[in-house]
Amino acid sequence: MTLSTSALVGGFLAGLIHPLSLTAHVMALLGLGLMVGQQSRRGVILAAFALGLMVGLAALAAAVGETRAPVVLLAGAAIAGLAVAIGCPVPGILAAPLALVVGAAVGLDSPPRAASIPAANAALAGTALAAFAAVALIAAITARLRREWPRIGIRVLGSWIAASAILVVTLYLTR
Amino acid sequence: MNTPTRPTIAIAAMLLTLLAASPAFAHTGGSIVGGLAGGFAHPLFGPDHVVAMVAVGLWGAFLGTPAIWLLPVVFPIVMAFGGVLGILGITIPWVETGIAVSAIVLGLMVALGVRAPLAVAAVLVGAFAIFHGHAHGAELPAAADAVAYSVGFVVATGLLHVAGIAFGSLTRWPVGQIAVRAAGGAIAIAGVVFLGVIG
Repeated sequence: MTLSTSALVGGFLAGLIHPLSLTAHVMALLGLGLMVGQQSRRGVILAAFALGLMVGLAALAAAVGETRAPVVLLAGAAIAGLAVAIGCPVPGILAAPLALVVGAAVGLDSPPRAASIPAANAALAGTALAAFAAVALIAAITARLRREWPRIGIRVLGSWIAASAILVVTLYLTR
Repeated sequence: MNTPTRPTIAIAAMLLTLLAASPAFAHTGGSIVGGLAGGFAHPLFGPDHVVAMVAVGLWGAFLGTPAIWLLPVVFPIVMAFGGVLGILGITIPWVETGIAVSAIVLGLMVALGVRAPLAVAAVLVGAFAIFHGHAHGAELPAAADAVAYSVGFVVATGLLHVAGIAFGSLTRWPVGQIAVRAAGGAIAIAGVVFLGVIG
C-alpha cells in the first residue's frame, strides 16, 4: 500500500470513527435515530438528514469558518430526545427540517484532521457514511420494536438524551 | 401491578450493587469534575441523592403502570429544568433541604403504601426533581467536559430509578412487600438524618 493510499484509508477511518466518538454527536445521532424509528415516513426524514449532512460536510470542504454547530447539534438532540420521550409521532413538516438541521450540524462539527486534501475528503466521506448508517440502523431497530417494555425503554432513553442536552445547551449559551 | 420476571430480579441485584457507595454528600460545590466517569459517579457518591432516586423508582413500581415508567421519563426532563436554573445562577432557596425532604416524603409514600393519583405523583416527583436538578446544574460549569459529565449524571440518575423499580417489583411476594415498604421507611429515616445534618 502506497503512502497516499494509506493516508486515504487512514483519513477515511478517522472520519468513520469521528461521529461515533464524540458524546454530543452520539447523543444527536441516537436521539434522531430513535425519533425517526417512531415515525411512519422514515424515508423522507432520513433523506432530509442525508441532505443536511452533505450540506454541512460540503461547507467544511469549502473551508467555512467557525460556526455554532456544536450548540445547534445539542439543541437538535434535545428536541429529538423530547420527541422520543413523549412518544407521539412528530409531523413530517417538523421532523424533516429537524433532521436536516441535525445533519448539517453533524457535518459542520466534523472538521477532518488530515495532512492532505484527499485524506481530508476521505475523512468527510467516512463521517458521512458513519453518521447516516448510525441513524438509519437505530431507526430500523427502533421501528421493529413491538413489545411494551423495549418501547418504554426507548422513551426513557429519549428523556435522558433530552435532559443531558438541555443542560449543556444552557451552559454553552451562558458562556 | 406488573409482576417481575427472573431477569428483572437479576437486574435488580446487579443495579443494587451500584448503590454500595461510600458515605459522602453529592453536592461538594464543584470539586467533582471531569467527563463521563465524573458525572456518573456524582449522584452515586451522594447518599441523599441515591435514596431519593431509588425512592422514585420504588414508588413508581408500587403505583404500577403507567407510573412505573412515566416517573422515570418525566423526572430527568424536569430535573434538567432545575439544572437550567442552577446554571443560570437563579437561586432556589433551601435546595439541600428540598433534597432531604424529597427522601422523607417519597420514602413515606412507599412505606405507607400511598397510592396517589398519577397526576399527584407526577407533580410531587417533578417538584423534587427541580431541587435535585438545581444542585447538579450549579456544579455543571465546573466540569471539564460538560457534555460527557451531563450524560454521566443523567444516566446514573436514571439507573438509580431502574434499581428502585427493579427492587419494587419484589412486591409480588408477601415478604417482598414488607421489604419494599421497609426500604421506604429506611429512606424516610435517612432523609430525616440528612435534614438533621443540614440543620
